[in-house]
Amino acid sequence: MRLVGVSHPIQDARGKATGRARYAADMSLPHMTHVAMVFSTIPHGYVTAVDGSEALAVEGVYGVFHCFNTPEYCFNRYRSQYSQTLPLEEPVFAKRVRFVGDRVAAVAARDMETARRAAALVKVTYEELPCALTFEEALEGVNCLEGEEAVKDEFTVEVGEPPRADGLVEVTACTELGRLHHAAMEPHVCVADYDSDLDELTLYSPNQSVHGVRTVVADMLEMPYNRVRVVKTTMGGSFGSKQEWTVEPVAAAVARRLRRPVKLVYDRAEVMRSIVCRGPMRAEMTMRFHKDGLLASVELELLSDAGAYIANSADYARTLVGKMFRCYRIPYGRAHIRLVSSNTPVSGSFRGWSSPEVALMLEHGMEKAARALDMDPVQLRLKNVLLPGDTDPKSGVPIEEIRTRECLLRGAERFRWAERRREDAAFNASNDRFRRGTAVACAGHGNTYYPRYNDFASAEMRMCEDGSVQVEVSIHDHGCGTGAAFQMIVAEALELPLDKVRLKEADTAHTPFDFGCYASRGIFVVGRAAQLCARSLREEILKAAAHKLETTPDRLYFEGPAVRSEDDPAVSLSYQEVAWYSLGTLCRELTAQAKHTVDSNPGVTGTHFAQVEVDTWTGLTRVLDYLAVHDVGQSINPEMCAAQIQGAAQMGCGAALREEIEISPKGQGTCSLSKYHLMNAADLPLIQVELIQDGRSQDGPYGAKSVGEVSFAPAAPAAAAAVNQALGSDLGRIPMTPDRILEYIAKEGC
Amino acid sequence: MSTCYNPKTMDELGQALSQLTGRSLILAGGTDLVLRLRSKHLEPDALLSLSGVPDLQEIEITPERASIGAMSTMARVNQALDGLPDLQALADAAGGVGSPQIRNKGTIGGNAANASAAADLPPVLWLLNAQAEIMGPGGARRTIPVQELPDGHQGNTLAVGEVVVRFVIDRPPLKGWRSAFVKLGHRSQVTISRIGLAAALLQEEDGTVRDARIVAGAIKPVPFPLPAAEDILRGKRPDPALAVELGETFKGNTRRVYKENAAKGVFQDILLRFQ
Repeated sequence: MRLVGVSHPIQDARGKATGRARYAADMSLPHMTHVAMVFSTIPHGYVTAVDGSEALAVEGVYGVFHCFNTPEYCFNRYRSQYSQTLPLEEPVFAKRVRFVGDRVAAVAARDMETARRAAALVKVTYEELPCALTFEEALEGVNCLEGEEAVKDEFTVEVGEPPRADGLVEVTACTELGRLHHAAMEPHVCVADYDSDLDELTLYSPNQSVHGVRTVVADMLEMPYNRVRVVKTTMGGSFGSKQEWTVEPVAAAVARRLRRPVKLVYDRAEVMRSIVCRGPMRAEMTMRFHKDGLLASVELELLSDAGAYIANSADYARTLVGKMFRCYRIPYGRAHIRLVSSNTPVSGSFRGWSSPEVALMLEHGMEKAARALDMDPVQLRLKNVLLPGDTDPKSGVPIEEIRTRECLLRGAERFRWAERRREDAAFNASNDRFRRGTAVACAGHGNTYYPRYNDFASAEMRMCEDGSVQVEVSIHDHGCGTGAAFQMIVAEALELPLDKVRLKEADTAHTPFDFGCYASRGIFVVGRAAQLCARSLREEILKAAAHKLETTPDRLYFEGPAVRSEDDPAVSLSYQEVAWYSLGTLCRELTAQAKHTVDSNPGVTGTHFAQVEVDTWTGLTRVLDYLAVHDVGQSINPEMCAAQIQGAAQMGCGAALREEIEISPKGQGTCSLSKYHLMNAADLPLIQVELIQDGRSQDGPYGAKSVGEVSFAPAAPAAAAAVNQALGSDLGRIPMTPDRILEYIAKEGC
Repeated sequence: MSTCYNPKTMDELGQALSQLTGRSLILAGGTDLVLRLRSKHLEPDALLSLSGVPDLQEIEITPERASIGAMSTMARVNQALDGLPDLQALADAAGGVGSPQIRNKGTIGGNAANASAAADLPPVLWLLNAQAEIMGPGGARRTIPVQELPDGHQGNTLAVGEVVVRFVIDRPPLKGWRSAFVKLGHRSQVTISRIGLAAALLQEEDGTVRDARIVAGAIKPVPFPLPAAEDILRGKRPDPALAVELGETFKGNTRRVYKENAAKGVFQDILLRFQ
């Protein structure tokens, strides 16, 4: 292949490096109004009055909006498809506030400064209700009003037959996960432009599903879908936080009300306090093994906290059960899950969508099993990983080619597994302060949400008169270069130079319907549609060329960006000539359309190795060395693929060792990066990455599998296991902060 | 609408200070104040910027004294003092504040006058017995020991219209001393101190500690000396193994169990600086 598999800079690298890339927050429209929010300062209660008089007295303030002076606009932040029947549980402006950070009012003013200053002057009166901030309080239902149940959802899933063998070795791993902040560099932003004469609303925002935003906002405002246009803007990271609609409904409601363009930009504190977090989970996982290390059963007892609104949490918990079966052969699996709702930030989509969470539980169990069985952790995994030809027992979908085994073997060799573990032991024996540990973790994910739901994607293309190609696909680049990857996929299929292919991102007015870029389906599903469309455009070019050359398409072939003939070596028609001929003589634009309906979801896994050094005196953990080996099928843009994996390792080390949104006794969540300790580059070694590329998918473009989310799944488990290995401990509370490590050592020694 | 003063000379600064009221603010590097202005929607009646006065940025090191202008950035303080054994602690502390971007903007005067309990420079300024030179309305000067700068409630004792213009450290009393500063945060860089430890040792030729001074920061509202730790060190070599015993001196000084437990780690880190 000419382009695919060769590293190229991403499409907006230059714009981002020079600061000229245009984000939604950089947009400015004539007569634009700036909106600032007023958030609930109490965790649970009723808003009894909103006094905006002082705010309205500030020069340049156009309006103060709240539940007492606006229609009762309600929506579901998680809804992204027309067919999803989810309760409209969340109002644009709450009357019953459910967490510190719930939206109470919005102030519109001539500029951001004025809006924010005025918002601080809005006086809100509350009638407080009892609140639940912990699992225990939520389970007790202290925050339930009459008729409300404490447990919002409860279900059991069983896959396979319970093991009957005697003498199984049983381990139980208790894992508790704290709340995570996505920490995308770009905050949440929406620019809404309402044309009252045409009754048309245009929303610009960095989001993961333009059609999802369109559906939710149009339904909320009772507008026809074709009058609401949503344009995806350049995104500075999402990690799932822009998969749920929080700023868009607000900006849309205010813009329609004011009949002028509106810009809403959250700052870091507001994003942390009000948008969404990865929710807390408490898990007890019991795993049974045969004496030789073969896994017999996995049973999970899980308690999950949806936070203030249910949003996606019921679905999230269901996918978690599915993700349990994406890495190891599990003959019998059972999960009992309960969902509660506390008065804390809303739990929601986070990179990996439960794969990283279930991996933390599974790998914690695997570590305990390796000790109980006295087996090497790599050997124990080798015995149990899914193999080519296996079937996902939960979904029934073939795993196809999978290379977890190769990842383990290659990684163990490159990371000097056995030798390094011996070196750690020697180091620990001669050191009274520092302890080193080396560990491995594997985790799997998907490439689409098929077969939980049907999945498909469409693409359209046209060739311009000069032989260049314009592509219409609904992509939502998160900042990782989806645009460049699609250019490469299309240019490869059309045998065109990269710069001859152009595509813009999703725009409901122009690009085909799409569910959105989540579930790691961007390349695997939408990319496949683009590849098929390019192939079909290629056929159209050949047909037109054949007409001009008075031959049949099968006698023609591509060489460079030209059509050549098998019969006459002198023939060389440029794309431009073919395009002109088609337009001028055939009266037909060279266009193509293609659709790809998904009927596969191959196994895709990552295997990460981490070596850490724990300072047992301060509790600080340093990551000394790190290697991520990934079964990616075919990488489209290898350096970007590796960079995504490196970022995932960084994020995972932070999730395992430091990062947590803590809730104060008054319900205030951590809302500053000075108190939310992101893992930064200074504290990490160079993350080594190795791509295994011979386990190709049948249906992904050029054999590609997903990478964006699966890369994050094994990272925190590897770092966490390395700490437990270093201390000989069984810490299950994630993150393993310095405080928790010292507390553990004070109690248990090391 | 507030007035902005942007003096270019010390004389102009003195005049500008005369105009300030209790509702005025003084802007140094802005790494704290600008954030506070935004988040708290502060509306001072006047803002006095110190950036335009070159004299405030002067650093002068002689064998007699170190004179450091209050507007010297962390980066410049670090650069100017790094490698001077008696003043090394100040270079360490300035070099460990925030990120390179913050160190290029944040100033020694701002760090001390802002009087955050977690600030890194105050414990070192205490350790080195620095004097703060203050200018008041009309250019009147007075000098106080840095120990008198904080008010004990995360604020300072400066009167309306007063500003710290420079810090002066008398060097002859530090002859032969070596100093160091280490901090413990949530990560190795870009982190706010949970413990800051400043130490100065006067050692015999064989390494034995003749005299020691230890000041801790980020534990109480203001830095405090640890005489018990100093006693442990006197007459011994600064063996890293002493860290456990030294860590015990934190007992009773903090209610945070974590800090009490982690103190020995910080002591060992600082002892390693004297090897």
